[in-house]
Order: sequence, then structure tokens, then C-alpha cells
Amino acid sequence: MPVTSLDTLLASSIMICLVLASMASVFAAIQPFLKHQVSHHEVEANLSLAEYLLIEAGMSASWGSNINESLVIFGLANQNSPVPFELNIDKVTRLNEKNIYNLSFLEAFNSLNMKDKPFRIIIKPLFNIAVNLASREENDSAITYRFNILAERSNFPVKAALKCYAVIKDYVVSCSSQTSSLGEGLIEFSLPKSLSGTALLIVFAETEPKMLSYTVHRFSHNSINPPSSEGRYALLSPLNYTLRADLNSSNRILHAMIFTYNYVFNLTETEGDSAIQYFIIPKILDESIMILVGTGLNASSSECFAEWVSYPQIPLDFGLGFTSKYQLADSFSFRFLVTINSAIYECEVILWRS
Amino acid sequence: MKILMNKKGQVRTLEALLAVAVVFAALLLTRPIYVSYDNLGDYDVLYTMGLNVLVQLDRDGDLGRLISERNWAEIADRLSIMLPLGVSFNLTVYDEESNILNDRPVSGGAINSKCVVSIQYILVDRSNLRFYVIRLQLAWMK
Repeated sequence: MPVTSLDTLLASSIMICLVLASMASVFAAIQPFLKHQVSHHEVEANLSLAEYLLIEAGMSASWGSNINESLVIFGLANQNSPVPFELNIDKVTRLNEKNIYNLSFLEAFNSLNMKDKPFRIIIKPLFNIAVNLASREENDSAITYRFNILAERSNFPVKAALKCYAVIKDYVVSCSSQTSSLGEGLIEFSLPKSLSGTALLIVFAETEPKMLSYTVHRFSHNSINPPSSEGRYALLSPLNYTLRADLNSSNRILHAMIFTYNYVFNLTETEGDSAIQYFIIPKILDESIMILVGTGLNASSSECFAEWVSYPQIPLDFGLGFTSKYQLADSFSFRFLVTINSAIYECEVILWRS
Repeated sequence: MKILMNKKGQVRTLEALLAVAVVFAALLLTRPIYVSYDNLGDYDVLYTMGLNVLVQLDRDGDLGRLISERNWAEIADRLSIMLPLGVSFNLTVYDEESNILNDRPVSGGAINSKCVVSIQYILVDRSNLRFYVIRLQLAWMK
């Protein structure tokens, strides 16, 4: 074969390879751009749907407070709200699975009328609080507790003003403090030795007006027994400014109280029977979450017990759990700030990418 | 000597090199188009997030009151707790005549990302009926 033919063959082969390689490269480079045109509209559509869930009141508009009204169209907003992203306290509360009036995900999913769009809604305070017992000192009449408080947001410290309440039976003591720029604070209070059993420490932390978080710590006071577990004596479910207590034993709730950042009130019992008690929740104009506490006395051990619930019942995680790697990659997540009863919370809406 | 004198093979090799140059030039030209459209989804998400934060900040007339008080530190503190970690911000407040009112930067983090969103928000302070234009710039931190 002549040398010229060999050269031609070599050059042709190189050119064919180059053309094929360039076709593949151009396709690879253009493909995300072409795909992105579709995904951009997909992001917009999903974002609009996420906003819809938080802006619309749904149908019937009072499906949250009235359990007899059937849910036709899902929406969490307050009816006739003048500002967007203001959620209804009862609609949000009904998303919590611990509430006896909770809405099933299937009901919510069907009422959205989008069969290819499962969703998940997470509502939580803007930051977290952790409580740890630092020391305990006992004298003849009282026990003094010191608790370390840690306020943080995604492991970053948060400076906040603290308002704390310690509750055992009908005895309430309050104290105030603040966390430093490192997010650490210390509180101190005393409880009388005349009482024993499960006590609650309620901690509210406020960084800015309307932006607060809370935690409730259960501890054993003046007793060798560990604190009673949550829901051991009663299951508390607030709705429509009424607290329902489903009793799990013969021990009744003797004292019911409501705590906010600035106020404490006793709740009035309205009706009930041997298994259920009802209390009226006052409408308090405080920019704070409400903590409802029911306390009583265990007849057999003579020790106090305490149960609590927040209203709105937050934090909550409602909907399908997109847990596996594949599902996480194929879903859209949008973060909003929402207002419930004048306080601001963080709401994440996760939508399945159909 | 004959092989060295054969110019036809050399020309074809030159053609092949030219083809390589053309192909790579085409690839380089397509790259900027791809990059410029890359973060459209992020723009939408950031824009919605910024607007949502401004609406919450303006609830009950708080934002107008803070601007009237020239309390820029408080506005920056509120924005930093309301925005998620990883988002940097810069807020500028203008009056009716487009004069900048904040004499110090109201910002958190450095805005040096490719994806920067600017949100314009108009508000009226309810206490003195003054009119303000707010421009909030948001970007993902690198």
C-alpha cells in the first residue's frame, strides 16, 4: 500500500473519531441545558404548589377547628387572612399525629386532587433549645435546681432571652435569664420538698419579637422514681381553644394551666366523664406558642404527675417520608417562614418530583 | 527521502488538527450558554424566600418602624435569624427620592456568588405614612 493511502486512511480515521467524539461531547454539554428548560418550569410549578398549600384556606375553610366538616380541598391558611403565610392554629395542630383529631395523610393527599404529587410538611421553631441539669442542692424545705440551657440553630449558637417555668402539681415558679453569644445560659429555681413526683421545666427562648422557641423538660422531684413517661396518665389534644384530656388511668387531671412567654393562667374544666376531661383555653394575645399542662396525683403512690402539650402542636412532620437516597434526589424542598398565632415558625414543604 | 517529500499526508494531518480546533472551539462556545442558564431554579427559590422573609418582617408594621428609628442593627439581626444558614444578604433602603437611607451596610455574609437575586419591596410606614423602597439582595454562600 502506498504511503499516501496510509496517510489518508490515518487522517480519515482520526477525523471520524473526532466527529464521533465531538458529537458525544456536544450532546453531553447541551443535554443539561435542554433538560434544564424542563426542570426550570418544574421548579416553578412545584414552588407554586408549595405556596398554594400555605396561602389557601382550603375547603371548607374551617376544616381545622370543626372536625365534623369534611375536607374537600387542602389548605392551611387562615380564612380571610390579610397577609400571606398566616396559618390556622387548628389546621396545623390537626397535622400532628399525636393529636386525637389528627388528619390522615390519605385524606390530605386525596383533597389536594393531585394524584402524582405526594408531599411532606415540616413545621418547627426557628431554633432549638436543649436543657441539662447542672446541679441540685437540697436543704430542709426545698431543693434548688440549676439547669444549663443551650440555644442553637444548626449547631450555631443563638443569643436569646429566656423565660422559664417549673411546675409540679399546682405549684409554679418562674425565672428569667438569657443565653450568651455562645448560646449558653443558666437558670436556677427551687421547688418545695412538700411535693414529690414528676415536675416539668418549661423553657421559652426569644431572639427577636415573634421569633421564639421552646422546650419542656420532665424531671423527678424529691422522689427516687424516674419521671413518668409522656402520655402515661393522659393524652392531651388541643383543638378549637378546647383542651381534651383522654385519661389512661383512674387518676384525673386536677390542675390544668396555660403558659406563654409572658403569661400563666389556670384552665377551667367544662365537661367530661370518667375517661375524658375538657378544659377551655383562653385566647391570649401573646406572640408565643402556648404550653398546656395538666397535673394530678397518682392515688396509689401519692406522687404528682404531669402531662403537657403545645398549642399549636409544633414541631410536626406530616406526610410521606422521603427517606431513601433515591427519593431525596427526586424531590423538591422549599422553605418558608409562616406565622401561627403571631409567632413565626419555619416551614419546609417537600414535594415528590413526579 | 520520498516519504519526507510527500506533502499530501502532511496536509491531511493539518486538516485533522484544524478539525480538532473547530470542534473544541464549538465546545467552548456552548459552555457559557449552559452556565448562564444553570441556576434558574435557584433564582426562583431565592426570590420566593426573600419575598417571604420581607413579608414576615413587615408584619404588623415592624419593618417600617425599624426604618423610621434607623435601627439597622436590629434589621440585620432579624434577617440573619429569618434567613436560612448559607444565604448571604445585603439590604438597602431608599426614600421617595431614591436616596439611600442606611448609613451603614445591613448585610450578612459576602455576596460573591454567581447566583444573586435582587428583590424590590415597597412599604409605607403606618405611623408617619412615609414611603420606602427596599432592595434585598440574596446569594448562596460559597
